[in-house]
Amino acid sequence: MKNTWDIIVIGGGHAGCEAAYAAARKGCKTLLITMHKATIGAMSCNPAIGGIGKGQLVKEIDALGGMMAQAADYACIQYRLLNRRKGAAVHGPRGQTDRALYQQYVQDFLNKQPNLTIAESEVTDLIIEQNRCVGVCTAHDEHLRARAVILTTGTFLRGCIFQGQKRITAGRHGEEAATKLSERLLSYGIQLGRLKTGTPPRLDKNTIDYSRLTPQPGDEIPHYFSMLTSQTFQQQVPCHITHTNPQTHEIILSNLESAPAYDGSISGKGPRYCPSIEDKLHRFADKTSHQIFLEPEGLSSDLVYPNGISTSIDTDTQEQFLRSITGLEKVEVIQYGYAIEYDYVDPRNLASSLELQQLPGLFLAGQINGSTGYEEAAAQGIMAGINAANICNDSAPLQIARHEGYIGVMLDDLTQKGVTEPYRMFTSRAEFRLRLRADNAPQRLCSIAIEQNCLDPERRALYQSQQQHYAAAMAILQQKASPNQLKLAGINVNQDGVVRDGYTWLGFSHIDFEALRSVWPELATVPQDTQTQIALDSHYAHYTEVQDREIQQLQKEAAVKIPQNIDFSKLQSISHEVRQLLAQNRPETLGAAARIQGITPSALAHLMILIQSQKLPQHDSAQSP
Amino acid sequence: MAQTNTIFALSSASGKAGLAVIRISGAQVQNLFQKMIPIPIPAANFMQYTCFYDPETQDILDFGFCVFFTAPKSFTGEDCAELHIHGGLATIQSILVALSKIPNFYPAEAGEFSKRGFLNGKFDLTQAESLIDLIDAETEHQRRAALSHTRGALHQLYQDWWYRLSELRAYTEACLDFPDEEIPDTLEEHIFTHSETLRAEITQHHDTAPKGERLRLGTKIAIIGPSNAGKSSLMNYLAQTQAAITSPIAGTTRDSIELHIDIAGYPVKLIDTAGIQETSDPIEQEGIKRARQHAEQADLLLIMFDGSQPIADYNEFISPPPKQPAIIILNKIDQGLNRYNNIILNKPHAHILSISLAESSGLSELYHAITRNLETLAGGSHAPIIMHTRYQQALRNTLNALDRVKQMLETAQKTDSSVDLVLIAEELRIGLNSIAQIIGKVDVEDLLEIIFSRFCIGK
Repeated sequence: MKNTWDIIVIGGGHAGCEAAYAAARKGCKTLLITMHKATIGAMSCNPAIGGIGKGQLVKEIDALGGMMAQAADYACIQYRLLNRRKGAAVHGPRGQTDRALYQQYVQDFLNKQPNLTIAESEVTDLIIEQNRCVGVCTAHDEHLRARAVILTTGTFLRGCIFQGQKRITAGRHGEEAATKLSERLLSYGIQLGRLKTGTPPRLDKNTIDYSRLTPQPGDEIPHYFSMLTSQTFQQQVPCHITHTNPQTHEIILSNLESAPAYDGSISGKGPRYCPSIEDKLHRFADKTSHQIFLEPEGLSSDLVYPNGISTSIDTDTQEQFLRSITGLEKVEVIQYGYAIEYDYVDPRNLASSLELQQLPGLFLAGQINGSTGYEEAAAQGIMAGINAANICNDSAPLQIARHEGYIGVMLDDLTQKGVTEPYRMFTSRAEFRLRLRADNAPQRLCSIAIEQNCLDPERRALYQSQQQHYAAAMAILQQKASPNQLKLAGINVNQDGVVRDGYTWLGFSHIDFEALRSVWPELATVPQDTQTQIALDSHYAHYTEVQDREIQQLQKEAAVKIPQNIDFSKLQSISHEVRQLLAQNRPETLGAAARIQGITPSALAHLMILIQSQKLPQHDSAQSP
Repeated sequence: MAQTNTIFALSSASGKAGLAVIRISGAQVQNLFQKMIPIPIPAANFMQYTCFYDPETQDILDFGFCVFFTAPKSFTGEDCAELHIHGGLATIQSILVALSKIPNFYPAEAGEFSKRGFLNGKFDLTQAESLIDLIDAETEHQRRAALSHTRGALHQLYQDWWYRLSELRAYTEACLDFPDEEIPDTLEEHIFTHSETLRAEITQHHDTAPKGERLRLGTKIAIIGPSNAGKSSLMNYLAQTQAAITSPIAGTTRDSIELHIDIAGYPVKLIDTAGIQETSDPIEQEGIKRARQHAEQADLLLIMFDGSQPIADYNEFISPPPKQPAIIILNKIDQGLNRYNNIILNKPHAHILSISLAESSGLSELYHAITRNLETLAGGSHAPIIMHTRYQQALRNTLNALDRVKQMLETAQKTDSSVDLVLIAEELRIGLNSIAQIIGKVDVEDLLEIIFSRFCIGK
């Protein structure tokens, strides 16, 4: 194997794959190292992609030229747009995916990718020179050098599986953990923490009595993930719904002492939004039943994933409680549920580019940063890939702002606030979510992707034609019409005599494109998806315009960079506590500093002066002849 | 291009002064001249005499000068204006409230002016250093004001609203973020009922906020006490020595007189109860009872006795103890304090002053005692007034948001369409953020905490 690379990516999960693909398509000679080639692109938990907030992330990855959306479309066996009846801003595309097909797509895709090499090995150490990460050492004693290294080791850092009283050191079911790297990171003064997550048992499809269960079909009109997709690739199948019952609960509760989360052996914090069934019973004792979604793992797979009953209780109890559930009376378990505890790096150690501040040249992405979920991992992966490539190209790191994408919200949350539980995307985290819709991801991010040289010609052309349609339609809608003109065209509106443009009229809840066509017949030429988009933009316009002022302020503050070498201890006149907050969080801009909890206006003013006084000497020297 | 909000603040120092300067900065400063100032925009940097009126009621609030500065040649680098107005607290208050009624005008946060100056590159270091002190002082004032509120019932009230709004928003967010979960489907009803209750409570509070009322209409002071204690003399003294006497106005009840005066910059409504107890009832006991009943609406009581005579009916006047603050005054000490009254003087809890209206002694102590009480009752130094304006505006913003929630839910019901829950959530966010300006930030973590403790989420 070649010994010098532009970029080395460690790990072949969702973060690693997107990172390697992004770096390679930006023209960097990229090496992806994984412990097992066969597990590249594995979906280690539920067989689904997308959801609320997560679906938006997938759309954003697609708009940045990533592969997750295409892989999900290829492997999708059931499309559902979540929140369909709620506001369009929170529509969440979700798909059940065939695990094997997804993995196959990702592997084929990466294998064809120019500039990308895939190698099977274990990375045991990082090569650090002058406090910079310049490569990795493998278990085969190879020394591989690179201009940037991206670490995406998921739950493999000191991973430990819990199942009843059993403890197995492992990174995922049946795969070994990586312990040496944890120690290495610790030795560079990087703070590590411990988190926990869990997975439910996998059931044998042939032993489930579907005749007694409620089927849940997908949408009739599928909402595809990728802007490139225009057809459904696979046969579509339903999920099924069943419920736990008092008997199930009794079985679990009487065996609770064998659950590791309850005997004190797990210290890591698990996600509140994805509790084990033990936790649900413990915390919501008055509920007599919990919903379970039986999700097929694939068209040709016998495995069924029972969503909603993640557990780490002993295997006998697992079997017993499962068989108390309607439809599962004779169920056979193929793989038992377990909890896994693993190291994560406190993401506040990272710059917003995902580069580790203590070790320039080293980027981290995915679960290692305390996040959870395929989509969250992939989104970090693509950003780490782009930014690592930017180091090789000597260009500035790419930042996506909170109002530009969920990706921006996530990176800002992670690097500024850190995590206390595995971080999952929710739309409520995005204060500007009215503009961060699934349908407008290309409009938000494709131009950035073009600038970053990571958008393929096909998407680029599609985006440009979408933009042309949008502009053409908006030109028509700039025309004005009076309420009387609308009335004459058969649209019933309040005759207040106020002349409005078409775009404003569209914002009225009972007026749509169809109706406005009788005023402006040329609107007939506007394609359906452009119509939808403009209608939604107009629907939310009042709110987004108010938010524009907030964004403007944020941008101004974000434009004031805090020098990397700033010495916060010079801020003697502010409290020690606040100084520490600044030193810990190392905000990159004044805006980021303002958003740290506990930073007072006075502290900000002092900070402004410190920034100014550091700048002044440079000013002077620049002015002198 | 989007614009930032326009901000305003009282820029002159705290304390009573003849003049006060209010500074305004932001891209929409020019709107002042349509909304509050009836003259065309004056040439930059020139002072112009004008009146100032309320943008909603059109009432004239004050006369003074305005100066307009154009960007970037101003303190913040934005368009700026200064209003030079009279220094009375009530005037300042009314102008600040009027400013907050102009769309996109907001009371400035501590240090916000200098921050804007900085962001627009209008900051030199020496200027900056001296600014820090100002910011610190302002922050300190606000912190103190906020602190005094944390102990008060007001804070608890806001906290309660804050929490209930958080819950409401958390409930909505749970529906948006966890659609497959078993969240009750009566959400819209739930939001409607609860937001209406909140709206009613906040409306009532907003309309009757005691400090605002006292600043606007005057703090009510009543003088009570037995006959011949010198109540009328005190009344005359306060009326004659204090500035800005408005005419005595006949009260709404037939047997009291209200006198509007200004004490230390605070508008005061002096209630004369002298008439009732001395003339209308032959039984003294009954007279005292009626006087006290009448004085019940007062914010501050001045209970006055003749100190030169043995005070026999002391207990009748002070028990049960009045619910409002009271100052006990022993008058006529020029004639010597009667030795039997030493018992009263020695009572440790009571706020007792000995004066002589005839010889004008002890009057400045009395004046200070009244002023101190007014500060507590009507808002003290400038900082609490600024805080007060901020609170009122925050509550108004919350109310507006809740109004729109109501409107959306009602429209949806009338037209039998589904409401856009995201917009309901957005309004609740706006409303919550406004109250949060008083109480403190709402982090998304607070909401998630509520969601996860209420709902069993976990697909």
